[in-house]
Parts: sequence; structure tokens; C-alpha cells
Amino acid sequence: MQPQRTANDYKSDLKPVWCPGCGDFGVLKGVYEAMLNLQLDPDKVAIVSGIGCSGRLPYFTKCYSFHSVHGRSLPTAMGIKLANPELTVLAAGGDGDGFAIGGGHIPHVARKNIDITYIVMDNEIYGLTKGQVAPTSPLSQSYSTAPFGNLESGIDPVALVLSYGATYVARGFSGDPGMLAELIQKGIEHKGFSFIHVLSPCPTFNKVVTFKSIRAKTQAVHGHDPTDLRKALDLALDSNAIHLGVFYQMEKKSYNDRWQEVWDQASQKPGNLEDLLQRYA
Amino acid sequence: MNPYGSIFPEVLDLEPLRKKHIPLYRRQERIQMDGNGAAAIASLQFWRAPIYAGFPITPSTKWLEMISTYINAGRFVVEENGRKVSAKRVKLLEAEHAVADYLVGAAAACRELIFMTATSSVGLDHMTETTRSLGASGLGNVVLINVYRATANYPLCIEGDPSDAFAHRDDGWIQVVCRGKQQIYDTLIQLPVVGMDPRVLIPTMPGYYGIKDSHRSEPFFVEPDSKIHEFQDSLIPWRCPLPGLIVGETAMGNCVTSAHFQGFKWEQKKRMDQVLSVLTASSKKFEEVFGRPGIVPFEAYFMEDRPPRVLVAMGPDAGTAYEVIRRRRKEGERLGLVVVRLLTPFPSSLLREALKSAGVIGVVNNAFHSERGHLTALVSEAVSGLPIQTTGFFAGLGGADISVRSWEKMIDLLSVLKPGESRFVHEGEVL
Ligand SMILES: Cc1ncc(C[n+]2csc(CCOP(=O)(O)OP(=O)(O)O)c2C)c(N)n1
Ligand code: SF4
Ligand SMILES: [Mg+2]
Repeated sequence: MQPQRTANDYKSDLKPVWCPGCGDFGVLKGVYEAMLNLQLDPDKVAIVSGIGCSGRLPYFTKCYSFHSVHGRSLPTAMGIKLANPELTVLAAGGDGDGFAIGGGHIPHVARKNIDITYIVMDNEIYGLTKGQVAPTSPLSQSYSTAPFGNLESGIDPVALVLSYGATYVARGFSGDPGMLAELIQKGIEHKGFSFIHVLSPCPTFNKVVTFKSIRAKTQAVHGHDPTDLRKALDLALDSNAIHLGVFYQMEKKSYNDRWQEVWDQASQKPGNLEDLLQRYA
Repeated sequence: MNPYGSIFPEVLDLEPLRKKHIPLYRRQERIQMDGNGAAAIASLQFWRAPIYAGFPITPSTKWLEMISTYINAGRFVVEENGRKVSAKRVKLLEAEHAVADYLVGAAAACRELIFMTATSSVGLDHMTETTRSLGASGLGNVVLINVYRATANYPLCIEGDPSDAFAHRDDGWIQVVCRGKQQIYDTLIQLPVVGMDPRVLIPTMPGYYGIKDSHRSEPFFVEPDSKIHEFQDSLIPWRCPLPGLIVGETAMGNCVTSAHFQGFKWEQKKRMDQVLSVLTASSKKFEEVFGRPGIVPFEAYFMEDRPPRVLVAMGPDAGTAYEVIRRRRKEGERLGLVVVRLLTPFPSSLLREALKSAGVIGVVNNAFHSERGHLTALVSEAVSGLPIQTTGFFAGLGGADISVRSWEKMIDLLSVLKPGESRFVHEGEVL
């Protein structure tokens, strides 16, 4: 029998290099814990990131790590999963990486229902490039590139990804790594695309969003039926509180399942190559 | 039909915009700043630049930060119809591709104005789909400052390796390399007038090395805004044409047959062929106005006595090469140095003339993509057919400093390497 794995089995030799107090430490803790709870074999896990402070996360794990280009963690993760479905594939990145430069990929991975888990660490700014406004920065908030207030309204990742048709949507907080680990664990277990939005403060460049301010504004989801998409959207759009927990979970066939099904049918009555080629003559 | 598109003289009233400009400098001053700062100051001094666009990427981000800091500090606030407005604005977009397309729209809408951004490395790569179209479009009023950084992300290195600039030689822009803050500042002022010349109409890509030049400070002279305007306005026509496609009004995107396509490319090439003469004429004017030399296709040092051995280099490390060669010449070695500034279009004929008496040339590439390196290929092509032995080096990759020992080593290797050979050199060692 395989001996029980410990947290150290998931930690690389590199010491995390985020600033002291960075929310991303909590996310890393949540990722370690989720893998530990599931007793995943690190040799069977691939973690892909985009570029950003958040993008460093895979360095600190013993899994296959892949630092892709800015905004492209999802297509890279998709490539890994489709080429090697045996692997558990996680993608991790920032709000900018996911919703600005890479924003075009999420709807497509969601509607394909590719079996990967996507963790977005949202600090409401571009951290690595020193604090510019990001797509999740709220309207009127001041930033280095908008000292008199942001002119653009921020997007809500949870509402957006719900409307894209993702089959697992949750929100966590890096100040509560235990709860986050649970959400990540459920996401990994979920068959299909799982999205976890993590509120993760950047104490260096965003002085407004802090652990304290997040705690004051958030509350855990209670008594909510996660199979009800409309209610999940209501919860996401609630202007009185920011909810933490699972908003939506619906088992649907993953892309690989659908592919296999179509193939099973198609292979019953294979087409004639010559005839098929005639279509393009 | 007017092959250069229609001009709509009444559409845009430029005069109020010109009057709105608030000068940054009213007389010449000597200031100290880094390269991104020097580029930002020049950019802000143009009355023709009311909108800047950007997306942050190291090492070019500071250009954007400087621009937005000056604007946000209210430095360009004017009164208009009883309300306070800023005569300049900066727009942060969601990715570089969006920046490039935003510039296309803005530049096509106002051909007499200058639209600028700065980027690096994968940021420039991300724009590629549009930069290629822009190069052909005739929108010479777009300026993209390329702060050199290694591309691509494998591995990621944020220092000044011009592999991004070389990867974009085929974008069809005018690319000029700068070294030192004065060159950066002066090039920013001069280059738009070349791109916007009606014979040229090609967007421009001034470039400088990330970190080495973008982040290190040095004193340089800034000129009064009025003088910059006088220089630019004397060379930029009040109404700028656009080489249109088919009916003369469309800048980009029309679908054509191969026959039209060829005609358009022929026009594009003719315009590119004009760059050298337009650049030279504007450099003359630049010197008359500012008393400093304008952009040269390349700098030539110690070439008067037609030395038999010549190094061809690029970028700020050429300063170290200059010192090493100066010392070795004192010791009796006849060595020369050429520092390339105009990357596209490459000044092949002029370079051939300058190098024709050399026996051995060593071309120092600061970027590696494939084979002997872009610069070696370009220089070899320029001297082809002449009895010159061309060898190549790769040094300063990833923005590493090229030490005295490395320059010494490369000079020593000139007489050892076979024609066509190339070597990686670092800290005086051959890799
Ligand atoms: C194509 C490209 N453009 C720009 C950059 C520069 N860049 C690096 S990280 C980043 C934004 C990071 O913000 P986010 O994704 O929110 O991550 P954080 O650092 O906040 O964790 C940018 C713009 C890049 N690496 N690649
Ligand atoms: S800059 Fe912000 S997001 Fe980046 S490591 Fe520091 S605290 Fe974290
Ligand atoms: Mg962020």
C-alpha cells in the first residue's frame, strides 16, 4: 500500500518569493491542502500558470509546472489535458491574466467543459507590473494609473463565468485557506471545468483591498441550492455582500466524454474517404 | 483617382489643438533621467500627441507611468468653454493587441496627429497581427517605442536583448536603435517627421535597450517645446495623405485580388525606398535647429584610415568597444568600429561603401534567433561580392553587459575565425 503522503510531498525546494503579507501565500496553502486531502500523486498533476505574481504559484509545487505566456494558461492547460487525460490539470493566474489579456479563452474552455480546475487570484490590480488598474478594479477607485478614480467599471468574475456556462463556480478567500482548500478539492473532483475565484489581497500595491476589508464584506454561502443557476447568478450579483462558497455545480458530460460518445456513434457507420473528399473538389 | 487617398481639409481643425498645448520646457535645459523618462518627456512635448495608449510590460512600463504621472498631475489642464479639461490623455487597454488596434483607429481618424505607445518583448509579439498590417497601411503617424527585452518567454528575461526588435524586422516599420538618453530624446523628436513624410508614410519604431538604457539615468539636454514644434511643423504637412487601397479611402482590411495586391506592395516598397533620403534630409534640418546631429544610418569610428579589421556592433555596449579599440589603436592596431542605428530599412549600400576596404569584419549580435544572427546576415549581404571575410559573434545576450575582456576576445578572434564562423562570447570566454 502507498504510504500516506504528507504536505512536504507537494512542496518544491523553492521558497515562495511573494511580498510579506501577500494573499497568494494563502492560495498556495489551499492548493497544497487540496492535493493532500485528495492524496494526489504529484507526478500525476500539472499546474499551469500565466504571467503575474500569481503566476509563480506552480514553481512552489512538486507537480509538473508550466509557466505559460501572459493570458494563455487556459489553452495550455487544455492542451495538456486533452493530450494526457490521466493528469489532473490545474491552471492558476491573476485577474489581469484571466480577464484582460486572456479574457477570450474562459468562455470557450467553460462551454467545452474541459476537465480542468482554474484558480484566479484576484487582487483587483496588475500586481507584477506595479499596481495598474485591472478588469476587476471597481469604478472610481484610485490606482497608480488612475489617481482620480477608475473610469471603467469592474467585472464580476463569478457572474461572468456562470453566464459562460461553467459547470462548477466557487469563490474563496486567501485569508481562509481551509475553506479555499475545500473549494479547490471539490473543483478537482468535479468532472468538467471548475472555476474558483479567490479574493487575494496585494498589500504592496492595493491599499484598499485588505484582509480586513474582505472579511468585513464577505459571508459564507448558506442554504443555497448549487444546482440552481438563476439563484447562483442572484447570489453573484448581490450588491449587499460578497458571498464565499460554491455558487453552482452541475454534472454535465466533459469534453472528453462527449468526444468519446460522438466517436462511438461515428465509428458505427464510418464514411467513405473518397466520397468525403469529393465534397472539397 | 488619387492613389494617395482623399484629403478632407475641413474635417479636423488642428489649430485649437496646437494652441491648447502647454509647454513642458520654455528653454533648453540639462536634466537627468533614465531612458524611459527621456522618451516620455519628448513624447509629452508634441502638441500633435493628444492621446497615448499602453499596456504595461517591463521594461517599458515606466514610459507609460511617466506619461500618466504628468497628465494626472494636471500639467496639461486648459480651460475650454468654461470647463477645465486636459489637453492630453492616456488610455490603458486590456492587452497589447488592443493597443495596436486602438492606435490604428486613432491614427487613421487623425492623420496629422502622432499616436504613441511603448512596449517590449512578448508585448510587441502580441501586437504582431496588427503591426504587420500597420507597416503596410500608410499610417506613418504611429510611433511604437520598443524597449528591447528578450523574446519569447522561454526562458523569460526582462533585460535588454534586442531579439524582439529583430523578430519584428519584417513588420515593415522604420526601426531605429538608440543608445544613451540624448539619442533617445532626439530620435523621438525626429523620427515621426520621417514616418509622416508624404513620400514615406510608414510607422516608426524607435528602440532602446531595456534596463541598460531604459532604467539607468544620465544627463541630457531637453529643448523648448516651441522649437520642437517648429522643427516638426516644418516637415509634417498640415494635411497628411494616406495611401489608400482601391478607392483611396480605406486604410486597412480590404480584400483584393493578387493583381491589386502586387500594386499595393510595389507602392509600399517605393515608399520604403525613400526612407534613407528623407531621413538624411530631416537629420540636416535637425542639426540646423538643435545644433546636435540627427539620426544617422550608422555611426563610424576610427574608419578614416580604412582599417583592415572592423567590428560592427549595436547598442550601449558599443561604448565599451569604442574605448577598447581606442586603446588598441594607440598600441598600433588598426581597428575600426561601426555602430548600427537604422535597422529597417537596413542601409546596405552606405555600409558597403564604408566597409569596402576592410579585410575582416566581426559582427556582434546581441540577440540569437537562428543561424549566424540577423545582424551578421544583414552585414554579410551588404558586403557580398567584396573580398571581405565576415565572422560573427553572439555577445550580451539577455542584456548581459559586454565586458572589456569580451571585446578584447572578439577582436583577437577576428584573425583566427574562418569566414562565416560565429562564436558565443561571455566575460572574455568563448562558449
Ligand atoms: C504579452 C504580455 N504583455 C504584458 C506583460 C506584462 N505583465 C506581466 S504580469 C502582468 C499583469 C499581471 O496582473 P495579474 O494577471 O492580475 O497578476 P498579479 O500580478 O496581479 O498576480 C502584465 C501586464 C506580459 N508578461 N506579457
Ligand atoms: S506585488 Fe502584490 S501580488 Fe505581487 S507578490 Fe507583492 S503583494 Fe503579492
Ligand atoms: Mg492581479
